Amino acid sequence: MRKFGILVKKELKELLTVSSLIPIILIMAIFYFLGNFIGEEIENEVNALENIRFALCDRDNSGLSREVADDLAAAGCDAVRVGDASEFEKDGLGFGIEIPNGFEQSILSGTPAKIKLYAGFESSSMTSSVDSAAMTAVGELINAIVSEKLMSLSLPQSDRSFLTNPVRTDEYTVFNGNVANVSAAEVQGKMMLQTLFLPIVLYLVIMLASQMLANSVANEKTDKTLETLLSAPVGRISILSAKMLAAGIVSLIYSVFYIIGYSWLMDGMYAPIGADGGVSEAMSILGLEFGVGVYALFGLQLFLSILCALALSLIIGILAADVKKVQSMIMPLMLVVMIPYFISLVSDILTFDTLPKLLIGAIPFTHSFTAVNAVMFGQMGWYWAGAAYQAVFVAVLMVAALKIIRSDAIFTFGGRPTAKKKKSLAFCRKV
Amino acid sequence: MKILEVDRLRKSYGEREAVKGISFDIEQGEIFALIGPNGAGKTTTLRMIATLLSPSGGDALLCGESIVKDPVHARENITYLPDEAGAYKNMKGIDYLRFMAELYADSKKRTAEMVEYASEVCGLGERLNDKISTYSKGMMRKLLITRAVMPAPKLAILDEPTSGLDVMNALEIRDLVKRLALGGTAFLISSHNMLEIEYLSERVAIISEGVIHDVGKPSLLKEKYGADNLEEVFAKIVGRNVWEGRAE
Repeated sequence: MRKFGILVKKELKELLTVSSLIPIILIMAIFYFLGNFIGEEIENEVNALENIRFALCDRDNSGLSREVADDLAAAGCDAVRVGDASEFEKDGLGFGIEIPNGFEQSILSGTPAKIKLYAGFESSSMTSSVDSAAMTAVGELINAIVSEKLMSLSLPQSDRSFLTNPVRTDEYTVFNGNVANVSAAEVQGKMMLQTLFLPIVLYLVIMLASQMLANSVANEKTDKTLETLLSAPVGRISILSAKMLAAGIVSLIYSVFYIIGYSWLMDGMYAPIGADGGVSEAMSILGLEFGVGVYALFGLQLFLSILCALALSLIIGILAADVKKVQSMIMPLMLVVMIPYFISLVSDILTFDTLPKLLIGAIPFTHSFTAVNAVMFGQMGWYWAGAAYQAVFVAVLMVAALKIIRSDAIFTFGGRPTAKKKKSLAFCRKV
Repeated sequence: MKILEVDRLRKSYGEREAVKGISFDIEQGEIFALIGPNGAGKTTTLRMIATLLSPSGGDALLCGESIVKDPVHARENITYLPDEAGAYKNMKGIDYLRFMAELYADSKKRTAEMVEYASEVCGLGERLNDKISTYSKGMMRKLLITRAVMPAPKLAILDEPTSGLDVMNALEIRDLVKRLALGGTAFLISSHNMLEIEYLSERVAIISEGVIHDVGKPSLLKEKYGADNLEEVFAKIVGRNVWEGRAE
């Protein structure tokens, strides 16, 4: 038993090193940061719901419709009178409600009346449906107001279901001035379905590319082939570029396979549904189609992110003593990719305030996670700024990698820290 | 004709000076050995001459041209076989030779010549068509030495060329080096094996703590230090050096 204890102690000493604990602590810190950050976002949205202002267009202008408007105001709703509810965005309002002509007449004749609800579409993220939820709540409130009034009239012959639900809603979605007769929730649902797997694909491809290249460089050290290669009459930039290019090509091939697989997944999911209740058609009217252009721009961002990951992995591979070290050194990179990945799954980074948006945007991979939304929602400035930032990031890292491989650090890194090594360590921390 | 002239070459790692201004030269077709204890500065010296490490001072001239100023050009005429070097295990032996030949050759014809020469010299026969992962240590070393001499370099640097090999494989490799030297290639060899050095090299330099203490033909060194073999010469020089170091 004592010997078993000695063995366990030895194993624990090998497994519980500072370098193995750092990633775990970082993961905890990232989850703490993400939890708080996303919580704040949701809280902001909920606060926004409490103070929501909307457009109200009363085309009926009847006694009942005016009473409804008064009761809404009495319930604390901030309804702004407008001439066209679908143009609520022009006045900076959250959504629009139209009480059509014949509203009162329809109710009094015992037929459910329809009101039109207009919601804007700003993002496909989970937390962006707050305006739409508020609009639904106001629609239900109007129904309740009218129902209460009908109940007070004590109409004996009325249908009970009519009395409890006298108002029906007809939902419209407004995007870029286009209006389609479909609910924002349906559009959002379809968009989420279409984009749900893109971050996963992105995450997998970035990780794959990083591992591949870092391992390739570290393997040259482990297999003792690096010195032979570096002593051959070939420029070091050629060696680095060849490794990057090869890993980039393989990653792109994998990406293509992933995207094909993804499209099959989508087709498979939609096949049993067949027609999607006109949502696709409505998305086409709204200009929210996933066309070739969107995929091409997403592909470009994916490529740039792969390059960023490859440039970082190249440095990791050069500095890692062996493949085992690569695994622990690549962990922080995975964590950095996880930040925009998780945020993009639950929220829309593009709708953040400037400071948090810039902070998250400083992570080069963020721009690939925001690419689809940026293209779909017309934030091309953010898209191209992100692409330029990634290109600069890659260039800086390539220069750094070249400096390291031209220096002695590739042979001396990882040993006893001398003054020069401390200097190169400081340099590496910087990059 | 002098192939290599090393002039006060120095290398520092921070405050520690690994090589303290050493000088020596190598003639065409000569086998020159660098012998010394672990940490003496042998591998650092070889790596500097192979242009893998940049010297902190001094220079080395290959056929009169500085390897410090133009390392890429120097690599065309120098090959380096590191201690415990490996090869790409997923490649076949013949593919590895072709891959390396392509890095040195400037034409397809020259590549083919190099590969043909290497195939004859290495003695691996049909096994060249097998994956390197199936090779024994001796076969791997033969392949790597052949790779190092295949481009007909002016200088081949071999760090511990027979380390870990059995007697027969070591003998074969020593014979190979001797034959190639007769063909005009100069060799700079580092080894712990004094018998090997005595058998192979025409001149030796004894290095310890980054300083070359003596250079000469093995027979003359033995005579000078009153030793029966190179091991004794080595022990006397290095032992004295260590003793002096401690006395200080």
